[in-house]
Amino acid sequence: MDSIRTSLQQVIDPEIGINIVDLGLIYDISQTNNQVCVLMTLTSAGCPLQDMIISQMRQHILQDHPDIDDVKVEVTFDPPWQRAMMSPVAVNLLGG
Amino acid sequence: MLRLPKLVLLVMGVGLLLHGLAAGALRAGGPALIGAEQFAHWHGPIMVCGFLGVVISLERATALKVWFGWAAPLLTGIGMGLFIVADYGPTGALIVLAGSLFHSLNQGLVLARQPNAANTIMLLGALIWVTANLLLLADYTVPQLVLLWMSFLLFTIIGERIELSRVLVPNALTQALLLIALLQLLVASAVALWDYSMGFRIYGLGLILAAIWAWHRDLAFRNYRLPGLSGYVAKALICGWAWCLLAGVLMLVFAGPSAGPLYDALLHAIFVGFIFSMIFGHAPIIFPGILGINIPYRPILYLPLGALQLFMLLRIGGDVLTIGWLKYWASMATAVIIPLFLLSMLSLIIRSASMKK
Repeated sequence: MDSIRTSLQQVIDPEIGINIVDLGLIYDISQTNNQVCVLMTLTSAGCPLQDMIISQMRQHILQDHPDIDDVKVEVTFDPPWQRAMMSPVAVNLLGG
Repeated sequence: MLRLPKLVLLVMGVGLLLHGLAAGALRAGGPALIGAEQFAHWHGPIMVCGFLGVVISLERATALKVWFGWAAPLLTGIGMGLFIVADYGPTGALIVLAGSLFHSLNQGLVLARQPNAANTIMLLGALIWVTANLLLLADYTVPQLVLLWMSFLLFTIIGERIELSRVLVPNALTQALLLIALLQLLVASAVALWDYSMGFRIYGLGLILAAIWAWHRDLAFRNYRLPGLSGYVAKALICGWAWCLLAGVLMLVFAGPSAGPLYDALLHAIFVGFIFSMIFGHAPIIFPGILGINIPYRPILYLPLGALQLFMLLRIGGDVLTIGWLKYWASMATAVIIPLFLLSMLSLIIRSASMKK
């Protein structure tokens, strides 16, 4: 699943300026045959960017993995996103 | 929801914006375009409840994805459209009120999905909008209600900024500062219903505190050095907060008149300086979110953003120093820059679409 994470690191939250993996928005990734399922959250339930972010996620995964032909993305707010979910890289970029 | 109905709602919002700008240009002494003499006195409500009401409620409905969510922008747009075609009437005001109630319902659902301070503040903003719309029906005047409408926008924007600031280490001192600022904005909006001048002074102090909070907590002040879109958004937002600070100072110093150049300066520092800097910054993010169309970032977006700052400074200078010709030409330039910015967004969309082919 590391290669899928690497693909998703290309999807940047335009306001925060950090990718969605380091922000801790990706909860789970699984693969069955040619299908990838991603369970993720957003920092904001009222954010209209959800469709754009999901579309970019699909685009990068499919582009980088010719063996995959379907990407399913499920958005959940349970558990809610917390600052502690960010990677040390993101924490460092945001000034500790 | 399909892209086309969302596009129709967005076009309705832009249509209201153009009518609001035409009304504003006429009030500033410019030509009467698109029959603006019929609705010039509703300039403020058309801009706030019409354009911004439609766009903000459309943004929320897009995120919420429930069928009744779209009632908010649809009703708001239709209601304000009635203000334009039939002058003010209780029917139009009632429909706008219904739109704001649906927007509050939407914000309530967002809060239920994600209970936190940011969503609570945005719900409060929506309820303030409902209150202003109710009072308009009860024959309160626009100058009495203007701070309530301003608070609807400020609470919405501040709520969104708090949401993003959650990536930073929490800080009790700045939280307390923001709480005081929001309470001041709320109290001032109510006080202005009875004592206009006092309301504006309290509001001014609230704006200054909100700008100080933003300086410490808004991500924009950390991201302005980033390249590309993130850096552009951050710089636009910083311009917006600078206007918030300036508007606060102007309100503290010049609170009093409910008409004339100083009134013009107090209101437009926030409604154009602050709000449109935020819009110019967020448009390349929000439009793709609503329409599902990729809008590539181009540095040319700095041009309208810079022009907006320059001409708004000249306009406020013209107001405060009572230099009529300066205020007039700067107002006309501002009214032109806003549609030009939208055209530049449209050209980026077309360019992106043609590159895909």
